[in-house]
Amino acid sequence: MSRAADARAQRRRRGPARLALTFTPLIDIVFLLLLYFLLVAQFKSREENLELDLPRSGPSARADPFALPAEPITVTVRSTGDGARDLAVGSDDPLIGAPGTLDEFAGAVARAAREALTADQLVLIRPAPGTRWEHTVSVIHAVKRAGLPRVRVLEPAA
Amino acid sequence: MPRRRAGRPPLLEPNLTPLVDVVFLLIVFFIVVAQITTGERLDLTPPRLLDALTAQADESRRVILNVAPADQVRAVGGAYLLAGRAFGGDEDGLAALADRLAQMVARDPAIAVTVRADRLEDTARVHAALRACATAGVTRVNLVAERVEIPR
Repeated sequence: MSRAADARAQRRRRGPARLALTFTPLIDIVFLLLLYFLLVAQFKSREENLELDLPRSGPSARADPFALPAEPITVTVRSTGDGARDLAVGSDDPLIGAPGTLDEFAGAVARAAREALTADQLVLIRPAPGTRWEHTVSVIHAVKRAGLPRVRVLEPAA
Repeated sequence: MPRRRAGRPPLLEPNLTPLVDVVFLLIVFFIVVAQITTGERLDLTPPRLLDALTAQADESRRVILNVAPADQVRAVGGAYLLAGRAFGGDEDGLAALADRLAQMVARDPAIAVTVRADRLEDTARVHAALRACATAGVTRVNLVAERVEIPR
């Protein structure tokens, strides 16, 4: 008898092969994947950080006696609404000019930084009372974006 | 080859009990960790920035300072929440906040304080928190913002 015929005879003796699938390992893996993606989705945050240096308070502030006193630029912010672009930004500096929209301010400060200012120029941001935090952050960001990293937020005042 | 005994099918089922045990342990572990990490963050909408210069948060050596939105002050127990402790918005609360921050600075001078505030928050309340940070000797804070892609 040939080998194939032998195997066929053996199968006939045992009865039909069982074709049932075992789902348990599949379910195990699916649960593991589900858990993994749930955790990843929860941990990924869309929040990011904008760095801001704070002034050193007290006598430990390092003062360079040979540095020329640079006149700080004061920028004023006022909210006109709750939307992200509802703000008026202005400055006492002739290079930046009278209050306008955020885009106008960003363009003006970028031009001033390119043409006239140095990177160590101090920029003070004075929000009007009741200014929304988002608007203050937008102005901080616009100044830093223009290449002027020394930004300080002053106490809100009119 | 050893002969199998007739009538008894070979036992090929894997024992799943230890696997299930370990998976449940992992579930519990991650749930607990997620509770701890989200407990530091109040439910608020940070400012949104177009074309932002922001960077992903470095998770090491940072502490989160939340400015509680006005409708959450009662639930939080104070105007500011720092590492699970609430501080009031008055002079005493701000002084206590600065003290607590100063302790953290003494332990780790390079500590970064992450300031979270709602986008519609009054700047004056955030400024008070920033002033407490400066008083405590913190030299750098991270302002939390959300990056918004430029619509095309």
